[in-house]
Amino acid sequence: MNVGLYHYLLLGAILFATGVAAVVTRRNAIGVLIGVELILNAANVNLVGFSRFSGGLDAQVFALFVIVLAAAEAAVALAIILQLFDKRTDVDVDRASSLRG
Amino acid sequence: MVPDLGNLLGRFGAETVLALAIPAILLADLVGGRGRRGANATAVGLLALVAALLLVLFQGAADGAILTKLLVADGLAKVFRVLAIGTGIVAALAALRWGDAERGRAEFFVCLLGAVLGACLTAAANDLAMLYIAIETLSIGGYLLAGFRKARVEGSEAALKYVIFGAVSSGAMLYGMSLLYGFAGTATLTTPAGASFASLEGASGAAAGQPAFLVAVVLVFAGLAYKVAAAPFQFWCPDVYEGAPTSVAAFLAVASKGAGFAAILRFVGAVTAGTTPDVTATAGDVRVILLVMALLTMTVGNVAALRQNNAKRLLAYSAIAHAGYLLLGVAVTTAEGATAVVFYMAVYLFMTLGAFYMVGVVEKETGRADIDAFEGLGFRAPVLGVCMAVALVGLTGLPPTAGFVGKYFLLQQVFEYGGAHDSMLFFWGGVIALLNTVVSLGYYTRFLKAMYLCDLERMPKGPFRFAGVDKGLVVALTVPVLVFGVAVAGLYDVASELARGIFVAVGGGR
Repeated sequence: MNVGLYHYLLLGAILFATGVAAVVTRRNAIGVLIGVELILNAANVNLVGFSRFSGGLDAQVFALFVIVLAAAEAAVALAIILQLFDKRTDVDVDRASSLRG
Repeated sequence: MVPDLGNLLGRFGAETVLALAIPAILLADLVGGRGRRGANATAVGLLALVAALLLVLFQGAADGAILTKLLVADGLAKVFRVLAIGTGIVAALAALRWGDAERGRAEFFVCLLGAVLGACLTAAANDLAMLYIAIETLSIGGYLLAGFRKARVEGSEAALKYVIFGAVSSGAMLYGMSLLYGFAGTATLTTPAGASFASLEGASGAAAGQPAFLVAVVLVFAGLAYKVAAAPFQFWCPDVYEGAPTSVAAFLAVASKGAGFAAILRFVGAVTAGTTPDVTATAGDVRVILLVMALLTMTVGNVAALRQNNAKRLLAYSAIAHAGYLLLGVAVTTAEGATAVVFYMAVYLFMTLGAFYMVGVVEKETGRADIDAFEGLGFRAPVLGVCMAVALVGLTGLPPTAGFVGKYFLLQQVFEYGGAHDSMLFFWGGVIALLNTVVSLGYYTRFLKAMYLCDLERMPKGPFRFAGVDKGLVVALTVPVLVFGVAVAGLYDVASELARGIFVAVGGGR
């Protein structure tokens, strides 16, 4: 079987859908973050796929930047989660509700 | 290709200064030693912000030159960069006044300068990759600033909500961008030749006209709407503004929103430019989506603000409502609409920064941020009372303030578009926006009532300390709200010159 652009996009779409499902259903903040990573990598698969089939390296450079930014974002998010964990001892996003109205 | 370094530094000297200042702050903090409470870092940070502001104002040529394909130096970039850096300076001063940065001055300034740098680059980005990187730089700085006061659990919670919502929406935006890259075959929004992003052909054929192109555009809107706190991506906004330090809330309400609107103007300009039937059909759909989003945003913001007692939460809902008004100017996709957005954003800066600053002063003095804390302030601190009244009248959109003029321009564009294209949707959209202004009167006047119509017996006794520095800053933020309301013609010309080049290539639509 030849692997074409279609297959890259399908893989990207499946990753995106999985990521969104994780974000929507997970109540633990770490679980939500894992979902976000899946969404970002779905975009990366798309970018690399388009780059492979339409020529041009722009999209591959874009994908490299996304990897770096995903790491930075995850580091900041984990630091914030740890800070909340210090005071709450749980990181359930539904129970973070002292601010409402 | 060797990028023209001289041109790049000439037009983006401010960003260079900000980027270099970030390591310089950390070094200065090390050299100074911890004993001096980060005085060196503070000095370097403030100096860099002021230098950056001067560089943008006096050096940044706004000739529309596109540099290294990634950045464009046009009027839109210039005005929104001035706005971001100016807000950064006010937020830094506010944080220093109220001790919001005491956990670590150096760290605070690193985060703030990072966020300002991100906002500046967002305003100038001409490439999807650049836009994503710039927005993430702005966001990551914002996440850290929102949770900066470790002592309060609300701060951590606000930061958590901000980072989780932010990560999800920027992920969706990135996925949309990856699809757009596939459709257009390029990440560049506008080529030097002025080629339209929407009509280019990529790996999967002509871009606009395919249903999935619109889906990708909507996914990108998700990320941008999150940045400007537009419905249905506004849930984080009240919680974050309430939990974050007040100085940071002010920064997010103005700089973050401004950068988001610069990006929205540029992005919508790029996807609607062109005259082929496919592009005009897409442009029509984009206009309807933006109009519905604008109306939803202002209604949600105004209705929810009616039952708030916390002043910061109330201002957050007010900020949401204003994102809705501003979106009206984008929805018409005309050069005049872009001008109205630029004009209103400049006015919004002064009104909102002023209001947040005064809430911060009251919070610092009374320890509370409720509307009750404003009881009798019209008599106890006359200057603060008058300035707050001007800011609130401006936010409501009543004469003689610039808020009225700005809102008038935005609504005028909507009605004109509705008339010119015989669109009942835009006509009724304008009517709903007018009704929203009436609703907003209901909550802004609650401040005025607390300040001036309170029970004099119940009024707290004793003087209200309102330091000279605060007084000067508040007055400086209030005067333009009145001046802009009078010197309209000149300012409109300036705004029109700055917004030139946005939406020029948009064809007719429904």
